[in-house]
Amino acid sequence: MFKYHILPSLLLLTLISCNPVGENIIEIPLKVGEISSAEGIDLKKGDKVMIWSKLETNDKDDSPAFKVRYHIESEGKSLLYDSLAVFKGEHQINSKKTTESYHTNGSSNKDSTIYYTQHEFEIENTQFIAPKDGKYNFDFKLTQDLSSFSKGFSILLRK
Amino acid sequence: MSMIFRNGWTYLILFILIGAGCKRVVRQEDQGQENSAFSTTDYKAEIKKVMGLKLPQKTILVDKQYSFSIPAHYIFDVQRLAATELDEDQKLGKLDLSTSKDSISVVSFGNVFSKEERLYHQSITIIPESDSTLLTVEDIKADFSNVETVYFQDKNSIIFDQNDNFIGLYLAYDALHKSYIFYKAEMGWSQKLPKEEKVNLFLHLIRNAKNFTNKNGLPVQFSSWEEYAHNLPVIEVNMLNRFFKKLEKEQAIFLEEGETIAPRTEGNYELAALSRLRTNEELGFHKFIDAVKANKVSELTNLDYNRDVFDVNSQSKYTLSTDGNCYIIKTSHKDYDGVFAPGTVEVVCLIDYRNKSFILKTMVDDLQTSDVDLFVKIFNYFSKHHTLDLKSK
Repeated sequence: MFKYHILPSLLLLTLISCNPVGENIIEIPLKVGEISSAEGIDLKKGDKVMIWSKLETNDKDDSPAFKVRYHIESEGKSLLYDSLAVFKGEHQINSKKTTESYHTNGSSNKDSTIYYTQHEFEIENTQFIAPKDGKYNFDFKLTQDLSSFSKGFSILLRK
Repeated sequence: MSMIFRNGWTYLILFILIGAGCKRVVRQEDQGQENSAFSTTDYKAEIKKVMGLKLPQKTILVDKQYSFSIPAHYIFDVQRLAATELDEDQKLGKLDLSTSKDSISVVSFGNVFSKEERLYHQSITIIPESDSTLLTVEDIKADFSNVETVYFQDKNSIIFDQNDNFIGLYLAYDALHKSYIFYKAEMGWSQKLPKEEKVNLFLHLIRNAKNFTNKNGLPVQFSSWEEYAHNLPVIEVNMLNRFFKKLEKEQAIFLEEGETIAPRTEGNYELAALSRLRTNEELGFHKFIDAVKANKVSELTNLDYNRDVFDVNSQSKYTLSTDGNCYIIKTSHKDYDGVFAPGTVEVVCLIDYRNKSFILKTMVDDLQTSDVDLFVKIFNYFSKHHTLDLKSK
């Protein structure tokens, strides 16, 4: 009877093992208008580096907009320069919604409390496959952040 | 039933195995600074080296009578304090400053690129006092409790640390004006920098202090950033390098036509801005330079090409000098009464990089022509090599 379960078990094993989101290489907090870098990342040929955005949005913002440009180089050679589609991605993890509030003076001079939902999550935007063994530099620049109440924007590199 | 039970166990064991095999490893980059030990021999060699270095100087006049020679890239500010404005019991060795009959002048200064950084403070206090034997450096040192290590000491100066604060003192007596010249530099404990870099910085500061009243020094002029890099404190060279690394990447990769970037220094201040020019912006800037040369700025029209690149007002007065690829532009704006305010200086440098045009300009307020040589040399080097990394170490 056990043999009938070997196949599904193996399938499960493949699905779950090992670490579906990959191992964290580094988290890089970004500031608008500044270039932040992860330098000297050791990669072997064929290593797949997944680039995730870690961000917060809230339902007070009509259209939260983040623009990120990135650049990958190795041994002084520029390999890739592109933009991240921050809200596009197949995987979204570590999603957390919280209700927060602030006080405001209404038109009738009465204090009122405004509630809003803050949504924190990580989303996989793109992948990079190392063309050969070596040390790689990843540069990121947040060129636009139109969100309010955002507590920060980070890039996560996972392998 | 027993079959289901047995299979259940099989799955459970499999899940445990998978779970155990799937430990997530999170590797954190270690950002900590290494704090290597500082040996006495290193420190002796360091003193000899730093004391032999030189920087271009300028002379400043304080209270119309005290002249000091300070590094040319320093900006200073003078404050006069009456003894009554001082806290009671403000003592310096045996001197009680709060009972002084004459006012005390405090000259605070810093270099053009880290004055606002709060990395360290330095000031000269001028204390009128007829008795030249009242004060010694040793007396003033005694005012500090918990002195830990003394890194340097001679007749008129000392460098030590106290509870991780770094302190440099220098004392001289001006016999002509019957005043003590007391210099103090201080870096707070919160600056997490390697100790040898702090010692290096304070040796530079004490060497500068020893030159304040030196009238015999030969004038020094540098021809390139390389000379500055070899003669400035390591901490400051590193700081400038880190800032220009950002501009280097902006220039090589990120900056797009019509964009301007003014990265913040570590102390969150602006230092320089880099713009990538559109063709019309480049032409507009050349037109402006030609107009300044021909004294025809007031005739310029259509000036609103991009105020981020260089703000031109046809009502203002401009004067210009050039040094390598750099323009040193002095601007005087007309105030509401039609009077020209005292001018301030910007260093502006056109850069051509792989057929892309850029403008690099200073973002420091209230610069004067005498302050900007360091910027001129840095900008010229960057415009030629597109990095501040030295070609020769």
